Amino acid sequence: MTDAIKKLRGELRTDSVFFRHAIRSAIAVAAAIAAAHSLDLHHGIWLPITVVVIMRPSLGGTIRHGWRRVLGTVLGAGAGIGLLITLGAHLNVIIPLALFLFLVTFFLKNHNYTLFVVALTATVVIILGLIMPMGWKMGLVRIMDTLIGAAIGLGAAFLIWPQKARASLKKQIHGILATFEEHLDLLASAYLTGQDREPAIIRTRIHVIDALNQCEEVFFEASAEPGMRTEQRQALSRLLRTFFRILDLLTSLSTIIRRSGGTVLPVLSESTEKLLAATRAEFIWLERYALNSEPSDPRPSQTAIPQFLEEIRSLRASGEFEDVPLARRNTISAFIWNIRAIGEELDMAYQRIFELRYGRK
Amino acid sequence: MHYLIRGFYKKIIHPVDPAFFMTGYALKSVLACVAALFAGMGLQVPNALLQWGVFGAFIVMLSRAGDSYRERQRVALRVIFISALLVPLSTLVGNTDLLREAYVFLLAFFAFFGAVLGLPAMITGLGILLLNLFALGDPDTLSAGGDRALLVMMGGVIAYGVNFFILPVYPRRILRKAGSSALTDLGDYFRVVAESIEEKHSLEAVDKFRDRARKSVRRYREIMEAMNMDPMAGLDRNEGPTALYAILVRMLTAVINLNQNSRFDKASPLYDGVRQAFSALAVDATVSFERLAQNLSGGETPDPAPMDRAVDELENRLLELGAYKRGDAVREEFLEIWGIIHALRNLAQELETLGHLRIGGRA
Repeated sequence: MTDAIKKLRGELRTDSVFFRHAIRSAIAVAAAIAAAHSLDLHHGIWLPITVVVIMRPSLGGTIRHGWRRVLGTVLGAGAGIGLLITLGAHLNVIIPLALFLFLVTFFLKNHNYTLFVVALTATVVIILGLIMPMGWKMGLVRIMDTLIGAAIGLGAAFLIWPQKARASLKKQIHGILATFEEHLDLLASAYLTGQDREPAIIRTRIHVIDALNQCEEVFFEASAEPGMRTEQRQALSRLLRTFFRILDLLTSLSTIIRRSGGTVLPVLSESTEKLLAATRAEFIWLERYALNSEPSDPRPSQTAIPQFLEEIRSLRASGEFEDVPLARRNTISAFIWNIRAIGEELDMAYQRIFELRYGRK
Repeated sequence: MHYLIRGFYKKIIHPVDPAFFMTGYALKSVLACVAALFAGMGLQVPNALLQWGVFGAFIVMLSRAGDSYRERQRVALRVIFISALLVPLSTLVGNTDLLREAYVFLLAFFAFFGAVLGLPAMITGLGILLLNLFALGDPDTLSAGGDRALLVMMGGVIAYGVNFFILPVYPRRILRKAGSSALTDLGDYFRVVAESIEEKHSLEAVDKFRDRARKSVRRYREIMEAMNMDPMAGLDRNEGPTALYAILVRMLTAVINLNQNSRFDKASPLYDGVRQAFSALAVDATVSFERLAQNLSGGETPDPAPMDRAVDELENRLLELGAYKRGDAVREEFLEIWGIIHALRNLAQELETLGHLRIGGRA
């Protein structure tokens, strides 16, 4: 209980996303109730329900959800009206049809939100159209009420602390790169010292997955907001794919480190440390680049991998690896491959961020 | 499951499985609402009030959240009792102009702010808000509100009974089955990837199996989402449905990596040797996958050793080919094949982790 109160208290501040979302939504729901009463609407309850359903913490999220809700309602009500007009007199057909649509509604719930709303609205319009004296006109009422509810919700999203997902893109990109870097740092220290740091590694991996999921949501919402160009939307989508690949590579790196089961080969320890430090430096520079278009320091040169490979080659030529078990050599090869792939993905991420800012080269 | 039924299940029912689960839940919801309606009629409740029993049942069926059976019970009970407490007040306040808006503002604020405490709290808050919106939209006296509250409680308790005692759903049991199906699909995908090295399957066929495995893993996630389960719960304890989901995703990634690594030159002097080694590996790995799938559906405890042994054998076979000492070009190819070994080792590691995973029983 104390934890819950602490959490609630912690978010009870005007710059909290939760607090702002709650205030914004509460005002919209109250406005919807007031509008339903002052306009004396039929089924005015649909106004606040629409508001409750479409409100999301960001403007883009509310636009996306509101649009789907309106589209689904118009299509579903249209279908319901059509069915009531053509089959309304044949109760033996229309009632089983309404029941079937009700089941289809749940069937679609996890597949496609717009189709779910289409089926739900058609069911509601048919059932109420059969019960209420208004008949098929109930469909028009549903459309009207949903449109007013959506307008109130969108109005609140635009006017009250508008939380543009687009405005937080820099912060999101910086945040995800920082969590990647934190995870890599831990992996590197586990590899270099040979210590078992599995619990801490799992914790940072959860941070990475959380941050990536949040990043994905923000990217989608930002793409729905007005003012973003098509090429910027494409760059966002490509950047997201790059981030997911980095996550895969870090997961794979963690497996390699777990399998290595000891410290780095003494002959490689210094160069491995340098290589990992260079990779971290790339992450850190990119974090800064995500926040400021022109960081004060230049981008780190990507010579660490070729230098490391050159060193491996010369060590191999001098027979340093002859006595090293093959499994261990395999782990080292896999480690190099992973670091190289992470470097390539970081380069890709740099290009995507550049495109997002200035368009394609 | 009998292998003939399993084949039928995999081809026909499996692809639409989660939607069937949702439709089943819809039928159960209809049953709960109808039962609440008949109970009201049986108690000779006036027609104007009959809908409140149905509302109570509906809100309970709608507010399903929590990643365990107990937590879902708790959420349902909270929705029933808090709603029943607030409905009389909402019914009365609905009559007064400015007070109504102020009241609904507070109610909506708490419902949305509850998201700070997680998904179950948010679902509880929104369920209560929806029910009270119905009451606010149809204002009346306090005593009429009291009658409504009693009926909401009756409907809610009926839905609770239907949901948890008459036709209970055990989320983890369903997820174990979905996990077992996903694992079987991953095993099939792995088998065709391994066999494609022997040219037994075309690239299109391999991609078809990849898509099936991908859909199967996604289905597992969809079922979790359909049950409003917290996707992060249990991830740090190597237990629970989320941990299984994380491993399934990693395994899928591992097999996709393996597939990408296993396209090497057929003209290579190493090709024949590797091809034979993979043939043996495909069989042993399939056994490992099958055993793990059986374990998830409640069968014997798995032994990840066959997969590990098979990878050892593949490694030894490659060593025997002596590629490392056959010039630079062959050595490069040899290193490429080591990439496969590494991908396989990753996969074996994930299989082992999966063997130690605790999904839990009834809850």
